[in-house]
Amino acid sequence: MGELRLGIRLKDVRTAAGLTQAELAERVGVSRKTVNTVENGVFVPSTPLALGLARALGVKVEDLFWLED
Amino acid sequence: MGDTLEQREEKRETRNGLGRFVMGLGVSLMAAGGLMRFDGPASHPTAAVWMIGVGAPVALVGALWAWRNRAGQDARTLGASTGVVERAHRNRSIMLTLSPVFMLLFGLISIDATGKLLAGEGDNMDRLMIGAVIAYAWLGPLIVLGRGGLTASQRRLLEDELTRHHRALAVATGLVVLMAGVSAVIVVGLWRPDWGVRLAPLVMCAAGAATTLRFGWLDRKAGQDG
Repeated sequence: MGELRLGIRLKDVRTAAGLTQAELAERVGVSRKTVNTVENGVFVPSTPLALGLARALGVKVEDLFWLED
Repeated sequence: MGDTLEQREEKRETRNGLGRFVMGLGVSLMAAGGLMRFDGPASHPTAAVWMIGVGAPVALVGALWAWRNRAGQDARTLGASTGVVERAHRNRSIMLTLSPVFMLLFGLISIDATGKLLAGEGDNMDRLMIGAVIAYAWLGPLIVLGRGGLTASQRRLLEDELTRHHRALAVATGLVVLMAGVSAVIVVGLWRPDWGVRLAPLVMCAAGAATTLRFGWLDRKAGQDG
């Protein structure tokens, strides 16, 4: 099996919700840099953080992250 | 237009930090002068008196400046506001940017001090210098590990998933530098044992500086968009 690659739509969902990175970070309880690096695909979040981001944005985790083929 | 609360607080913190630094410099001068006076029969009396004489007013000015710029109502208001995590991260970044420069400088200075002690010519100043170098080499890695001089609330603010990820990468870099440095020191020490000992503090500082620099670089990069 090849390496699993993560698809990310965090930035689109966040901007659609009218939130800044700092505001989302505040809601989740992480730094703005954490949100920034997740959005840019530099940092892959843990399952709890992914679920926390989804909950803060009021969406399902699959709406933010998915496995790319 | 006047500064915002955050800008005012940032400037106050910088002035307070500068005051503490100047105070530390003055106290260090006084301590060094005191050690020189009591190191044998007045080994460097003029220099010792000069250091104590200059160190005392410098320490006093620094202390007054730090006290004048102590945390006040603005800090309390800001501490209770949103964005406190960002400020804690920024303060850590500033500390991490400055400390590697001093670490490497101290490491280089310690070569001479260690050499003098090994040759039996060293005094308390040299012992103090090596002690300070070793203590300072710990500072950066301790900050990276979330231990150095942080209160429990600061630690809580700074500890998140990204920090732990950056910490792992930074510690790996420091370990590589430490292993390479110790390997080199062993090889050098087989031929010139004195140089093996002389270079050891520098290796320690280099590993500490590498850890700190990598963490600081990752932290800065994480803040950039795109």
